[in-house]
Amino acid sequence: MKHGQMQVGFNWIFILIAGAVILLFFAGIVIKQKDVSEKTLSIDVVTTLDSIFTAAQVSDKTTNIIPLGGLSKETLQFDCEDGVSEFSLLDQSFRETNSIDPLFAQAELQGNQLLLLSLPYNFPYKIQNFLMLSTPSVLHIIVGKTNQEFLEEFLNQTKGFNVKYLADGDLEQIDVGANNHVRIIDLDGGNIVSGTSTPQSLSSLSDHQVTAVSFSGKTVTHYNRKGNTWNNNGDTPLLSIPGTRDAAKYGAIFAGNSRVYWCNMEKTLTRINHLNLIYDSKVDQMISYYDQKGEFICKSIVEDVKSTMDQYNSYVSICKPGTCEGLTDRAEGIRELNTKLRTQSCSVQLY
Amino acid sequence: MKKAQIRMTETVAVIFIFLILVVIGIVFFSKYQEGATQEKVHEQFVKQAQEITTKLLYSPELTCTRGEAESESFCFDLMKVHAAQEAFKDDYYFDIFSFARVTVNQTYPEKKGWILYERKKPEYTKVTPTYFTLSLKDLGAGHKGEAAYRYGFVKVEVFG
Repeated sequence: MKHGQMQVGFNWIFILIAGAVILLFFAGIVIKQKDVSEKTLSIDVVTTLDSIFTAAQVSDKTTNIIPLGGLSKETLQFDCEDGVSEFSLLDQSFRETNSIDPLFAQAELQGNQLLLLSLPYNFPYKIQNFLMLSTPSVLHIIVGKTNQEFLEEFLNQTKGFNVKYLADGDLEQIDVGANNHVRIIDLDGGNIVSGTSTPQSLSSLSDHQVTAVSFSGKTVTHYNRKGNTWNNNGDTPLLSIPGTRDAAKYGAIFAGNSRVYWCNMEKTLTRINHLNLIYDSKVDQMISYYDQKGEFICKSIVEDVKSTMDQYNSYVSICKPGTCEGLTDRAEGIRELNTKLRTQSCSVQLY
Repeated sequence: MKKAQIRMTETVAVIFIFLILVVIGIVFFSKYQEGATQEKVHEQFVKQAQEITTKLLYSPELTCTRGEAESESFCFDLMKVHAAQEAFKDDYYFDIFSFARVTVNQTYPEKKGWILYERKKPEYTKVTPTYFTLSLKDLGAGHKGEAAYRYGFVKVEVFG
């Protein structure tokens, strides 16, 4: 082989190796950047949604419809454990956590819109707002006739949500359509029974896409489908007092399961504990005020409020599923005494 | 110098210049990224300040109530304000207000002020104050069952 021929061969090998190294270098940068942009996008989406949730949560009794546009193909994941809720995009590591604000949603949500409903939770005074989340792809089916008042209020409050009322209660009539989740809401408490067959009309959906919630007295039961039968995944107490918009009931309807529901209610109980410190102090200020003014009837009512508040605080501290009996009565007691302060024309009321 | 040596020198020079261009590119890109990250951090900080102010204005610990009806907008109950000075010291409120200082100032009829919450960030570099005017309901100072209203503002300073 001549000297010139060898040099040409060397040049080509050199170009090939240098070219490959340069190509790998840029390919590496592109892959790294793709990964970084995906993570950044996930962080941007989750933090923006968190701001939307905060804004939606602070205003009472509002329904917000957020178009998801390009995010409609993404799945949002929600969970709550040990009093801390979190949400993220499916298969992305970044998640936003919150230990203060209750957020009730199915475990996974996907759709072209995000539907948000904010309701004040009064027990008996305002504790905080509950935020309910859904998408048009979650079909809510209501059955039951006994609680007509709540039914009408719920249908009115959830305009814009995917809600249908089955007047005859025949679950076989459900048309799943293009929905990716069906939640049955049993207002009577007798339509969904653990161990009984789930409707055939829902056979096109997989198990995690079929859930139910049932209300019986002051107990909420969440169900999921296991095979072809309803499986009870937990009973929780319904902490609400009659005569007010039942935000606790709305929360149960939109929560994915009993664990998530109770986890969010635990956040509320913690908030009650802290809020009560403020109201305890207000009660003391009211007693001094009525004492100075010589309004002894009002003072005596406030002293009753104080003793009921003490009992209320104790019940809040021990409240867990199965140990909350008595809490609702104390909340009602405070409400009655507050009404009494108003009817007695006492100038300062508790709330 | 031989012809082959000249070629080799040329090749080395080309690679050297190419590498310099790549290094310059990387430096420019990282500077741009650094700027974009700082802008993002600032954006997050401003957003956080707004969120803290919003949460405070609607906080049931402070807002004026009207029995079963909706709370009065942009109104703080002075009895609750007095109670909050002690209650907000609990760590629970750090999750709501983070590193911030919340001051309620009464400007009419007489000037008064209350620091409700204060948690400074160690070695903070910036403070963003937000002001919001509000009415202050003095339940104990009214006449014929009507509460007296004072006026003032709330100042929320977020430490970053």
